[in-house]
Amino acid sequence: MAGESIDKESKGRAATVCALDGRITRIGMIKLENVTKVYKGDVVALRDATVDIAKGEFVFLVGPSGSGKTTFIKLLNREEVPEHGTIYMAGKDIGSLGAWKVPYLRRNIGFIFQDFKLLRKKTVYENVAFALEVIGKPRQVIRKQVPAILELVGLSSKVDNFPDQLSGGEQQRVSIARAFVNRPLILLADEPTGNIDPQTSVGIMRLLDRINRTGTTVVMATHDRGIVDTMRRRVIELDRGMIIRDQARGVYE
Amino acid sequence: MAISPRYAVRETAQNLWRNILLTAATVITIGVSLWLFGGFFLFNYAVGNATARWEGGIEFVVWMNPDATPAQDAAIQTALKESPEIKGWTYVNQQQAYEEFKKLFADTPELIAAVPADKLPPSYRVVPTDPNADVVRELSNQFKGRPGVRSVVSADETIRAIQTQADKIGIVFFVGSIILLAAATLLILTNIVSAIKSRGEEIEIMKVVGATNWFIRIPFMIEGLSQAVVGALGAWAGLWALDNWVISGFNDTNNLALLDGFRVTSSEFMQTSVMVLGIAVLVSVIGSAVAVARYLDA
Repeated sequence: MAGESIDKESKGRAATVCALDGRITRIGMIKLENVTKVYKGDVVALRDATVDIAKGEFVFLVGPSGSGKTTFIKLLNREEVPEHGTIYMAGKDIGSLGAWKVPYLRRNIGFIFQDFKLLRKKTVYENVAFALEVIGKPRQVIRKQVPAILELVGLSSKVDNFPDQLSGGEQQRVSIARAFVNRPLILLADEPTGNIDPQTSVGIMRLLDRINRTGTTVVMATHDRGIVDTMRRRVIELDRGMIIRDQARGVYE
Repeated sequence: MAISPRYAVRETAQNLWRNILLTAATVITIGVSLWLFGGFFLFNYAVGNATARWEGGIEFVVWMNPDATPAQDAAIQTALKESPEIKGWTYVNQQQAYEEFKKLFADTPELIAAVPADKLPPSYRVVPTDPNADVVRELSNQFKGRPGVRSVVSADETIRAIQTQADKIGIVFFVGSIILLAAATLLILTNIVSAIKSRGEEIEIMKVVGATNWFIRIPFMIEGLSQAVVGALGAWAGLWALDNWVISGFNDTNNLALLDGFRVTSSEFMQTSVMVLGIAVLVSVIGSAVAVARYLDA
């Protein structure tokens, strides 16, 4: 049973959440209540998931391919909507948002892709600026924020380079800069180290950790055992759409 | 937050340039279809103006001299009343003739100013019982040369043939233009879908970072609109040429006296131009809207 698989540490944490329910609700950043997502052909991607993620937490989503990690992330980004259950972001039910409000929700969520998804014909600076430009930020804001974030990710010297002129790690840093340039409350990362070597991954994780320390909630889907075991952060394990483990300071297993 | 004009212009220009051949094909198709569509209306206006006096079954017109005496008028009226071959007739006095003249030459006010009402001939518009061309010709000949009669013009087979052929030509123009407009709409749609697909990754990122649907859509909508407007301008130039070189050419030919009045007034040309532009906007809105609704779902 999924409930029995949740370890004692996690149960203790859940109890804390219950005891401080009123307070946690106020500072809770992400909350899933009995969320089920079914794709065409009755494929259950997520089954009856209930999770609370507080502001500033760093959470790893682990599990084999097809376990529901990407669906979990897509649900948080309102790329998908659940068949059952409710998802709250900063106390708001995102399922009840009108389609026209979804872009405004997404401005509070940064998204990091496994394959970076950088625009080949734009420079590093333009790729990051693009994220602000398309949400209508004034030019003076863009001119101020983009160099600052590029400095944070360590790419100040490569602002005029094109993605093809960068290493995989550098490209992922640009992707992180783009996701974080608007200072979102939440950062979602789908296998951000999946396309880069282990050494470079360490640098990427340091960067995500640094961003997390600014108070940004980070939810990261990963297969990388080494990273999870080293970071020792909260781990939510999925298997065939079910949460089978929710462990504070957990390991990959 | 509103889309910046700089961004909209840059993105639209990039979209248009990326598919330059398809853009050119779209603009040409829109231009030709709107030209045919507008041409249909101009042609109809011109034919209508040229044959207005023959409407209502009128087969010949007896033009009187402006200075014809009442006795001469009375003689003509008596002849018209007594002829069993005449079904009916209408007398158009000088003032009524002047009103028609003013309407017909509305775009040349200097001509209207130069011609006083009392210089225009009154006329009898006659409807015979038998519209057969030979009968009409024979009947109209009876009035030629009578005292006070200036001339007799009959709506012979040429006029009827023109009306019939004009109707057929009009239908061909109209059907052709509708088919081409449908093709133009599909081309706009294809062009925008192609632009959307070639920018798929960019659009995905825009959605992820929180660009609104309208922010994403507007450059594509402007793309469709600019193709249609450029096409409409080409069509307008073509219509101007049609009006000034072809339609006006009929007027300049004295040998086609029966087609006197085959012209398009300024207001008719203006109405057609506005309609062509309106259709262009409509076509672009339909093409763009279908493309973005289908391929840019939130």
